[in-house]
Amino acid sequence: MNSETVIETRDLTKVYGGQIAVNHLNLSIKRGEIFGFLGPNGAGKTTTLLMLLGLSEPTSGTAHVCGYNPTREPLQVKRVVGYLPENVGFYDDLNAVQNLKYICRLNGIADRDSAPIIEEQMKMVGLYDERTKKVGAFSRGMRQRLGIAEVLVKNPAVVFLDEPTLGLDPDGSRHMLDLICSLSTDKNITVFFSSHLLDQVQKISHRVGIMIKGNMVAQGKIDDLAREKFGLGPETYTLEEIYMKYFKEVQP
Amino acid sequence: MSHGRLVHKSLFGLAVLFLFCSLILIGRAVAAENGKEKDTGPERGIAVYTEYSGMFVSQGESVRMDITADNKGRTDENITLTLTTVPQGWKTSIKGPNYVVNSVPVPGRKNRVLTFAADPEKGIKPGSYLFQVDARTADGKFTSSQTINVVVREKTAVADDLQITTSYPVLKGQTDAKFEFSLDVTNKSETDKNFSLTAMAPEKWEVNFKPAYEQKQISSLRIKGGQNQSVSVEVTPAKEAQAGSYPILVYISSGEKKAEVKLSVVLTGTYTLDAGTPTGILSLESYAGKPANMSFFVKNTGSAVNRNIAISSFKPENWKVEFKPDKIDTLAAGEMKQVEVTITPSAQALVGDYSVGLSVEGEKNSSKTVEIRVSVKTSSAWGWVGIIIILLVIAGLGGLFLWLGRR
Amino acid sequence: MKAILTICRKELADHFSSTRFILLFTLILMVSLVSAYMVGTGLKEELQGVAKPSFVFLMLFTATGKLFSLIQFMAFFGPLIGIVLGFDAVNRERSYRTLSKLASQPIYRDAIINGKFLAGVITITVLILAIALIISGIGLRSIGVVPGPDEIGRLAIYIVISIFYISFWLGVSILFSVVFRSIATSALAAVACWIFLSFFVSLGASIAADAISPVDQNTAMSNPELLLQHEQTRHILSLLSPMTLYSEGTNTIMDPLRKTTQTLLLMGPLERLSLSRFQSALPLSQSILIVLPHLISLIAVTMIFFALSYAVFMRQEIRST
Ligand SMILES: Nc1ncnc2c1ncn2[C@@H]1O[C@H](COP(=O)(O)OP(=O)(O)O)[C@@H](O)[C@H]1O
Ligand SMILES: [Mg+2]
Repeated sequence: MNSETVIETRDLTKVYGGQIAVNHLNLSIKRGEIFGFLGPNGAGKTTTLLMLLGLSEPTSGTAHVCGYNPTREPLQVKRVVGYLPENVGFYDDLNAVQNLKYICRLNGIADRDSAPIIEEQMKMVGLYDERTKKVGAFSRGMRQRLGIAEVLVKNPAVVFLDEPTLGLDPDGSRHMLDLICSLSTDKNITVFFSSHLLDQVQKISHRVGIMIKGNMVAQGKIDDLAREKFGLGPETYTLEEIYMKYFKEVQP
Repeated sequence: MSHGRLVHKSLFGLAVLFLFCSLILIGRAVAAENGKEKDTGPERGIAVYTEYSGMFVSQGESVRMDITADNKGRTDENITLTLTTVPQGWKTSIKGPNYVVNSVPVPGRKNRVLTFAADPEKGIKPGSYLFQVDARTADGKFTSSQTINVVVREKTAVADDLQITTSYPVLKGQTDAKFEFSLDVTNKSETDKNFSLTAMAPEKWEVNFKPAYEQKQISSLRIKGGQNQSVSVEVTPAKEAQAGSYPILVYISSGEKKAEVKLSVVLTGTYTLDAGTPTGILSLESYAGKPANMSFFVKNTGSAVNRNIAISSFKPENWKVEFKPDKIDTLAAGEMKQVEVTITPSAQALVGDYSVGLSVEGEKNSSKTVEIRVSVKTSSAWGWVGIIIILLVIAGLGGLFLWLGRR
Repeated sequence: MKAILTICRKELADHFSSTRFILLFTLILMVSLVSAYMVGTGLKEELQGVAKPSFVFLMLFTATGKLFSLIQFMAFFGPLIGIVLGFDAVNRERSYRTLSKLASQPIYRDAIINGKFLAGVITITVLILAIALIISGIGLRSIGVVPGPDEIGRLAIYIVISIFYISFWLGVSILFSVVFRSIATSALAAVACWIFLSFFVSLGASIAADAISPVDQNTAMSNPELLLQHEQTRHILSLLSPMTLYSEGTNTIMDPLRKTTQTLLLMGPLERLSLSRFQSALPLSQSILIVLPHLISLIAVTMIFFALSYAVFMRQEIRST
């Protein structure tokens, strides 16, 4: 693992009409790292991701993704970042390949070049057999996997996955987590993913950040966090316990 | 009773008629008795005499007259006629109805009428010429003679032979009118004659001769001796003839005889006006509410001076039509003046072609109206305003793109 | 730019494969065909014996036939095309949850709305052109009239005005699709707007004119100025309706003899006489100048609505939920 910083934020803040969604967030994520972004619903995870993508303007603070400022150079950022939104949607009346083809076109990949890429990604997420099926007929797990394939067609350096395992059955979740792991290990892609499901984050993340009500309350390796808070090794505490501890601290 | 009276009446009528008839018969018998009693003239005696014994003729004119052989006695006679004296340069003869004769039988107390003819040879001189005719009986016992003195005079003017009269020698009218004079030509001579007709008129005037009440044009006419005929002279003045009095001399001639008559045409002048544009274009483009200019000419095409020519217009309401000058005081015949006209359509005028009439009115109903087609257009200024609006909107949109677009 | 074209292409494909659009398209096409056919056969009978009829070609579009002219039909139902094309443009992406994904691709965000608007305009253009060409074809076939350059120019301007008119409604419905998250709401809002602007504004204009400059029957005869003032008030107010703008504009451009877009004019007898002397058709340039205010208003209002939806969309939060 090299030490190149891919995502960096400094006092990134977003205020929605007086309500602070993200408060002075400082992040530093290195290449190839899988960073788990933890927090309850409404913590500000999606807002952070949107700001990092340039889809939402920060109220103050700066962010850099692969050296680009998302606010000023959104196109460059979007070119290197694959984003899987929470509850990703597709054009249901198109089939899987057509959906991916459209994304390829938007990324400036000609149809001629996109066909093998799409094929490869479909195989990788295990949807090759379903490639000509209308996406409307896809199950939730298939949609999430198709979403991963879609993120990968542009050959990103970083992927943002917003709640990738949301609503998946245990088998689907495990499958998804394997996929995420392989991104980091096989392709050296930095994965920045948000979830409120702690055990999953624990399983695959190199590092985690815990966000509660817009504040990053803890950041680091799970072991370190456990030690820091409780002085205990990771084998005795689950992430959930750590999380609950922080949660209680913030909301007395 | 009544019946009886009627019978009585008719009987009385019959008696009167009888009496009347017998009176006539008696009268006649008495007359016859008187004649017989008077027939106591000489046994024999003749005489010869001509119609005239002295006369004037003009040069070249022949002499014809009756000559009478008279038997004064009771005895029938054969009278011989001889022309004993014939002056030089004359040919004479005595003619009956059919033949030239030298003797004629005349019953007692009767006479015979023959014709004496004397024809001058060409170039006969004026002067007095004496002719004598002798008559004598067959036995030569009785003679008679008659002298004829013919005085040949130099041919003088016409008048005697040819006469032209006209009741109206002066006609008055406008230049564009036709003038028709009526001439009465009288052939005073004995013989039928051909008369040729000529006229002298100002340049470009036209003079035509026509028989009265006929449309033929003639250049000569034949009139029987002693008769007259009327000829009409139609005079068409030249178009550009000015007002004034113009003499027209009409000559009528036959051989050497000539007669002339002086006619006069008094032109009072015509009053016509023309107006138009030199190019003939009678259309104008203008914008609603904006004045547009054009010029047109007014020309006096009449032959008299036209005064106080007013210029007016027929226009839609709320339009303004101004002329410069707005009237012409005098315009001589043939003269042309330019008038500037400014047409201002009303501000609410629609786009399209309007008709505007410009009329000039002078003296004596002389007028001319020109119709001008005024094409009112919309000012493209508003078009530019519109384009500016669109450009502003596009600029606004562009600004929006720049402000929000780079996200 | 490439992104706009990509999105536009996708939208075009969507339009031309969407059932509701195809239904509407066939409906409008059929109505135009039937009306043009009726007008064509009617004209054919009428023109028998007329030596050199003028502007017959345009009559195919303007003649009322048995029910309505094509122009009237377009004025009434053209907006529906625009609404159908635009009412779910943006909120469909939201409801499919594809918007944030789309926005996270390396494209500027405005490419999305520009592409959609462009696709709508292209579709409208194709539709109008198709109708115009088909009717021209029918005209050529049934009455055998060949349009002159002037007529072609007029038809071209008619097509342009129609495109902007329908695009205006596209803009309105796209604005609603941006503002309202629910597709049904935006559809209803657009239809309500259509009904209001097309039908109630003219009604309201007469009522308002009655209120502002009242006339009663008795004085109207003696005082035409008053009547005119009333009419002008009504006219100006009714111009708030794009349908009035469109109808007046197209009627004027398609009828070379029409010299004004106004329906009531105060004209003196001399002026009428003077004007009726030359029954001449207006040159195309003059007709254009007459309808220019209408055309520009339509273009401007279309652009303004597009700009509005653009601004609202650009300032909106991109978030699936
Ligand atoms: N457009 C918005 N306007 C106002 N508040 C918002 C908006 N979007 C999100 N928020 C608020 O910001 C906070 C963070 O939301 P979000 O980032 O979606 O949370 P998470 O993704 O962690 O569940 C929430 O409290 C939410 O109510
Ligand atoms: Mg979220």
